[in-house]
Amino acid sequence: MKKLVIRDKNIVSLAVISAMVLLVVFGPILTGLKSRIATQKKLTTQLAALELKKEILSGIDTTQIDERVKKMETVFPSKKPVVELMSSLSKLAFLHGLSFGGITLNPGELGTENKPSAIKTKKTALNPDLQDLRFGFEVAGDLNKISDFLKALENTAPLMRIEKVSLKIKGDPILDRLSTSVAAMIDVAAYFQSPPKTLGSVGQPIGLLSKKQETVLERLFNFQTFEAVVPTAPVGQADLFGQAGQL
Amino acid sequence: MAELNLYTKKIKIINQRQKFKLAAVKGLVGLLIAAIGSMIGLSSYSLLKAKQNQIIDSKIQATTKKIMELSEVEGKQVYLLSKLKTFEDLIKSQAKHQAITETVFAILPPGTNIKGFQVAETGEIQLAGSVADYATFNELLERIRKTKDYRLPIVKAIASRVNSTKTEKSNEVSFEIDLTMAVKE
Repeated sequence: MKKLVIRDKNIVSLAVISAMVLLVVFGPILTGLKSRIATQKKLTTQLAALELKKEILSGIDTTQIDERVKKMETVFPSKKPVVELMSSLSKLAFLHGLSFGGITLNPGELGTENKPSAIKTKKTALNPDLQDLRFGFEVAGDLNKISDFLKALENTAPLMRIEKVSLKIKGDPILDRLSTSVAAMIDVAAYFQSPPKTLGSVGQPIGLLSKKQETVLERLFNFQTFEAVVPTAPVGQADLFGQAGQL
Repeated sequence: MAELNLYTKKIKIINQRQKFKLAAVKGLVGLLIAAIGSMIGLSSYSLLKAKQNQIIDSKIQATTKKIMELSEVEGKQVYLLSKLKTFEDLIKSQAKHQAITETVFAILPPGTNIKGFQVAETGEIQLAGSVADYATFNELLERIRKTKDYRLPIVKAIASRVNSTKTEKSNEVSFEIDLTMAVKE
């Protein structure tokens, strides 16, 4: 039988031609189909990620997030909180019946806020975008009041950390021991961190706040804030040489 | 008279060959029909996939547009997430500094001068200062002993230097005490 098939040239030619036609036609069809299936898989994954992101973003309470951002900006600002820090400390000292003064400020370079700080905790280096503002001041009054003032600092905006403390007695501790006035020289570090510059691509996933992060955020609202007094009237002479009237 | 067929064997072979040829042609034609059918099926399936991809793509466009509309919310969420980690670390560090400072203040009797002490997160503080007399210095030591009364327990206290300076008015005692507090991690 085999011999018969091989010998029949017409059948062999027909079979070869058929096989070639099948290869020529089926090849591109199969390649195209394979590519479309792969594209579909990719698009479906992309759509699922985008749908999830949309769902997360739609589910965020806009009023709540506004409040949180506002509070975060007050407690842990994006820019050097020079005015806010001075205002908070002086008002807090006033609330505790202490005199406030002896300010030494180390604001760093006012123009360049991108220089990373070298602050490190013992265990891990904090975010490289984190920067600090060192601030020294003196409060004077009763020791207990100073102690209460220091306790209140923990929950006063902007977020600050006590770095150094000195105590100096004012008055005579022998003659009037109970009402001795004390001057405390305190160095604090206030922190600020610039916000992210870009949002990233649309496809970049966005996370929800974890329970732990929600708890940390709740702490924000325990911080006492004092309104910073910012001058609204123009400061300095606008027309320094009196040219406006002459022109 | 009997007829003699001399080509019986050859005719048989020819018949077999023709039958086989017919079967082969039929088989090839059948295969071609099946291939054409498959080709039509596969092409239709491929077109269906293309159409589906088009629909998914339009859904992606619509979702992207919706996300763009929510970019303000996204910006705020990204802002919060970026700051929270550092804020959490700072809060922990601040609490340690605060606890150390409060503990030091709790042990100081009225009338104590303290040279600047650096708040170290390890809880090791070098307290250098002076008090008006030995009675106040004793009170300071007594307060250090009451370790459980404070925000942080004092695990070690070493008075490395104690000097007394007598004047007409007072008997000032200067001291250097190394304190170690148990800081919670």
